[in-house]
Parts: sequence; structure tokens; C-alpha cells
Amino acid sequence: MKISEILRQLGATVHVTAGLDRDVEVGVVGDLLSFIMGSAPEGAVWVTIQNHVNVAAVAVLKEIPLVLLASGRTPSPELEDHCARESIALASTGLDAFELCGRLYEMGLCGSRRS
Amino acid sequence: MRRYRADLHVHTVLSPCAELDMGAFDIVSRCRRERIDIVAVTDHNAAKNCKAVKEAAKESGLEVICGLEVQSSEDIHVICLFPDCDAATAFENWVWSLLPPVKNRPESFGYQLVIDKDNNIIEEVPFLLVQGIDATADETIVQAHKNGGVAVLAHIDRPVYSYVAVLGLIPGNLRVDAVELSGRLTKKEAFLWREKAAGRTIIRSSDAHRLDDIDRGKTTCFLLERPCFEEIAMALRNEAGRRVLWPWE
Repeated sequence: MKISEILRQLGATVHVTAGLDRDVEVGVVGDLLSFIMGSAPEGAVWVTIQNHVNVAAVAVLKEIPLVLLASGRTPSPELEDHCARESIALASTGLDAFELCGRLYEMGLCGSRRS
Repeated sequence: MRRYRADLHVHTVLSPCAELDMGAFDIVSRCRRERIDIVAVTDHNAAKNCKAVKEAAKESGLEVICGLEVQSSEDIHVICLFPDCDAATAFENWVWSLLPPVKNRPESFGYQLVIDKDNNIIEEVPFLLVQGIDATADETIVQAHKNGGVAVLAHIDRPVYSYVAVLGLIPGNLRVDAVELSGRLTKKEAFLWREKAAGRTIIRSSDAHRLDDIDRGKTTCFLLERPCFEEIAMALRNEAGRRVLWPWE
């Protein structure tokens, strides 16, 4: 599914609009960056409440095209800058991580085990 | 310049997770037995027992540094050390203004006791100290400096409550004065962490929660003129010949 379509269906607030026509099939959720570095499938959508600038570095490492901030968390200005520089789409929503993952699953995305 | 043994991360009975044997005089005598010259009192989000240990250490030859182990909003632990009790208290006021109003349940979490030098209980802190405050680790480091202190990232080798576990890596521009490795690491493990720390000052501490944890083998050797906060701060920054020796030599 295209990133632009995911964001449209979620009604998410988009902070960085890079690469919205890319397709994604897999998702990952977590706030411990060391865990995401170790376990995220490449190319996954990443759901997190973590808004530290290091999120961008981990996203680059795992080739994550879209970071979704849950529970109304907004990105720090540094995170927005880094995502823009690295062409990572960045959006936020008031939905909590559980609800957000449920919606993504309904859209046909899956976790790493099934990919 | 001479060598001083320092343990810059020790809890007291104010930390709910610490054993009740972590009294003021008890910490002092255990440190002396282990031939430790400098100890930092670093309770979770609190500095209230620094004074008791400092007073209990009078004429013992042990230098006591006032500090706190802050838990940030991301659940990262940062050791913040200060020149004196007043500076630590000013910083503690900032921490407490950002602490969520959750009550402590001593039967679940443990007692949070403020004591005097003779281990008399002065008060129990009613709200839970082991929680993330409403400030990030990066903001905590900035505030510690504003209050005249230094900041050390606690036990970066651990899977929880560490900057590296939560945020993946330490940004090159983070103005932290040092990073801490756990006393239990082997020489080989510590060496691997030294490479990851990329030139930052590394200290080894006990993070003692009970008396038996205080151990000369879990300390760091400092090269200083005198055993005091100012000299330690210089050593962490590698200034004017003051320095930290590699603990696993």
C-alpha cells in the first residue's frame, strides 16, 4: 500500500512529506531504539511514541520509509529536520499505538513474522 | 597529583529498591573498608540523603559527593553530580516539579526514607521516586549543567534504563561529561563498550543497592590534586592533567 494512501486513511498529520508514493507491506512497533535496530524488518512502517532525533538515524539504518508517532506525540524540530534530510516520511496521530497498529493491520500490513 | 578510588553511583535507604542496610554510617564504613576515597550518593530522583552521608563521613577520610540518579521521560537514567548539597537540592527541586504525582506503596516498591547521620528516620517521601520525570535525558543534562553540576549516562551497557538501550546511540554532540559502565562487566565486554563510546570518558561504578555491592573492584581510579567535586569534573573532561584511568586495566 502506498504511504500517501495510509496517511490519508489514518487522517494523520504529516510533518515530512518525503517519498509518499513508496509502497509498504510490513509494520513494526516499539519505543526502545536498540530493539528496533535489532529487530525491525527493512522497509517497515514504524509506529512509536519516541520523538527523539535518533529515531531518524535508526530509520535510515533499517531503511524505514515512514515513521508514525502515536498518542499525539509531535516530533522535535531536530527529528523533523533529520527526517527531511534523509527523505523519511514523518506523521503523527492522536491514536494510541495499539489502535494505530490495528488500523494498519486492517489495511493489509503485517508484522515481520508473516512477511 | 595522586590516584583516588571513586564510586560515583551509590544508593541509600531513600531509594525504594535499596536494602535497608544502606544507612549513612554503614555506607561510610563499608567504603573505608574497601579503601574507597570518594563516594557519590545518587538516589533515584532525590538528593535528600546526601547530607546524612556527608555528615557521617566527617573525619573518616571519605569524600562524599552530592548527586541524584534522574530517570528521564524516556526511562533513561542519568547520574547528576553537584559541588555541594545546596546545588544538589536546587536541582532536586527542578526534578520534583516534574515528577508525576503517583503515591509510593512501600509494600510493593519499598521504603523511601530520609535519614540523618545517625540513621534516625526524619521522614518518608510519600510519592514514588522511581518514575520518569517530565523531561528528556537531553534536557536533564542541560539542567544539571545549569545548576553547576556534571552529568554521566548511567550503566549504558544495560538492556533497560540506559541511553543506548532506549535511544540506540549517543549523539556525537550530546554534552554529557562521561558514560558509566556496570561494575560486573568483564574486561573483554568493557573493551567492546569502550569502542562504542567513541572517545568519551568512561567510569565504572557499583550502582550499589545493598552494602555488599560496594566493592573496590567496581570503582574507578581518578588522577586528581584533591578529592573533591571540582577535581572530578576536571578529570571527566580530561583537563589540566586530571584524568580518569581505564577501570579494567
